[in-house]
Amino acid sequence: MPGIGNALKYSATPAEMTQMLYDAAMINRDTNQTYLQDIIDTSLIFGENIPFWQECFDLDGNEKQADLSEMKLSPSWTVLSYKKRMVPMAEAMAPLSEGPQLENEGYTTNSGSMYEYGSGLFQTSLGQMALQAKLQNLNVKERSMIGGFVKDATDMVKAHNSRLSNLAAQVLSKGGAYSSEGQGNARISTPQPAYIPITNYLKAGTKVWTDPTCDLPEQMRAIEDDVRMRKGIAADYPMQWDIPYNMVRDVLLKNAKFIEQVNQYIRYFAPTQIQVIAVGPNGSSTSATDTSVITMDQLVAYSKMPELSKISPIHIVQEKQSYNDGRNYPITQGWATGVAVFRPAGPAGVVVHGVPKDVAVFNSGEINNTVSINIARVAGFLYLINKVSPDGMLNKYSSDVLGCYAPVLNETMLHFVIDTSTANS
Amino acid sequence: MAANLGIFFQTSKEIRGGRTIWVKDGNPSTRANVRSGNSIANPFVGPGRAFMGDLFEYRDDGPGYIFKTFQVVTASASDATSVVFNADGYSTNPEVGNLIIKSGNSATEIGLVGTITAVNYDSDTQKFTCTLDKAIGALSVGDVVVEAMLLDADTADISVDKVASSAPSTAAIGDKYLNTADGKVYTATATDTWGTGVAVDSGKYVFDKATSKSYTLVATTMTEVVSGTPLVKNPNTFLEQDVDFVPTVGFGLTNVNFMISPVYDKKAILSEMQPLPAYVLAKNRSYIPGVFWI
Repeated sequence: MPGIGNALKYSATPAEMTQMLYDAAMINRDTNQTYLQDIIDTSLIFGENIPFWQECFDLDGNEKQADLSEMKLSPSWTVLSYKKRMVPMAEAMAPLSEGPQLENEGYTTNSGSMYEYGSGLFQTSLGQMALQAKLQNLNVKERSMIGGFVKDATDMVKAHNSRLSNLAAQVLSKGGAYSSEGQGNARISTPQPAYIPITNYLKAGTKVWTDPTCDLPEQMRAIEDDVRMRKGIAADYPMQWDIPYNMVRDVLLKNAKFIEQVNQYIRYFAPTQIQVIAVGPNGSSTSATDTSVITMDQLVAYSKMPELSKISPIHIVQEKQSYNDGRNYPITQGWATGVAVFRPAGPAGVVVHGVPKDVAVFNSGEINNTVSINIARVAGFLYLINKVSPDGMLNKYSSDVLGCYAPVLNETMLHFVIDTSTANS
Repeated sequence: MAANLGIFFQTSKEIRGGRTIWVKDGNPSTRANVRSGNSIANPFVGPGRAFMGDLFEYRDDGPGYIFKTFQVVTASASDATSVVFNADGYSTNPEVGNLIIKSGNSATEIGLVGTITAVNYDSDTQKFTCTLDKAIGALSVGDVVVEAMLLDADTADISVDKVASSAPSTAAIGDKYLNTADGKVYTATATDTWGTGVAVDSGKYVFDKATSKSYTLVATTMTEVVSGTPLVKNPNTFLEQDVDFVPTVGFGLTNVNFMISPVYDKKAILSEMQPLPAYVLAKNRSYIPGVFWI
């Protein structure tokens, strides 16, 4: 066991002296310039800055107030919808006979809960001081690096965007259903069952979509025709396909019939661009035009061209999230596997939201005097709560961004979920 | 470092973030101080770091001890003199000269002690591979190895005044000696008179006060071994934040003294803490799984 010395003899600690040596070597005393050029890695993280949910859902203008009389009850939402069906033709009748009567269709109410979600930070007084000391070592430019070192309110808001994108993808691909099951935290469950009509779950068509011999554009057209007919949707009523990125890449772009269709589109609308994909030897113009490769842009452009396209426009769904699973951060997606969605073009619904009960309690005047709380509203539906509470004789700092929300479909009757991996029986 | 700089400089340094060691709780909470604090009796000899939430044995009658624990990440056989510990950046670094022991179910359980003679850190696999002078028994993945102290008269199962292959000719009443020929411990019943020998049970350790050596039954013979107990038997406080250690030996530095004021009555997240042996987990005051409260 090493012996214990007396006292520290130096005015600087050995660590500080090492640092001073290091600094001395790094800085040119004459010009005061450092020998090192700092370059900051500023690459963005996938989808965090442009959340997926905003592509498909609008934020509801109303906010549900928290009900403190019933603490256990989550605020709820309700969507009313009625069956869409073509009105039957007027029937032939003899004069003075009784005309036929139209049936009332009734309506459906779908209700669900807005669950609360949170993302937080925690720091003790000493932890805070250590952090500040570390930040002081960074120069102004380098402080943008603190994103890797310090998580802040922006990150907590990103966490909510990420959660909401996951919920949104689930809602779209599962017909309204969502849950946080299998995403790390098994302590509470937040299930919401599906609520689109059971007849809105459709199968792939004659063949599963991954079958290379499948005439996919035709099968998709058949599905469109079927539901437009069944629901009385006019042929020019704008609908859209939501198809996950992976399915577009691995199935649609490789489908022979889609390649054929897209090539037809290119020849028809952009004949000059065929040169771009010509692969004659030495660039010579030959008949050996490579038509076996199409791109996502071409596919989407084709789908948006009503003159040629057999199908409604394609919206490529790109979303990815991660969750904390103890020490790991696995990547997950909200979109159900092997599912494509056919629905009215535009937003699929709204994000309903309420005031978290926590915020209502913090504002109720019942907070212990030793705890100070500041609350700010963020992004229209989230609440940033900064709390300073005693940790013995020191302080501790909690920051939380809480939200109480749920993405809800408001086109339930025309929202179709297609299981592309099961052929019609 | 400075001397080489004019020629070539290439390095990378990773500034770690921080684990969420303390249980996040916005409620006012307790945090208790100890009287005077402690000097650290087992600082790191070279550069080292003790982490926020690591345990510490505060002593009221002398310097205190950092609780150094190591998590086994590769199984090793009972005769292995190479052991592999976790080095994920939040793990206590083993050092040459450290005595280590596989932790048992109690703080006083005696086991074989090895001295670390070399440490190799592999940043790719995040492992410390330590070479030992003597094997410390079979280790499985997940086992916790702790810093050890050598056996002494207080921690031994039996301590004797002498070890010999035949009865010493002189003895005072109460003297004890271990006979290595028959493996029995004899106690003097009268001056220069030895009583009936008592065989030493398997697994028991005899400490020789004259030479500070320890003996245990290997097969059927009492054999000299290097044994001991965990150095930190009563970890009772937390380190409240990371502590950087500069070398205390070599590097031209002398008289380095570390003082620390550990705290208690705090709650930490067990999965983020250092690996804890069973005898420490038994001290947990929290009934909530995953929370360690001391």
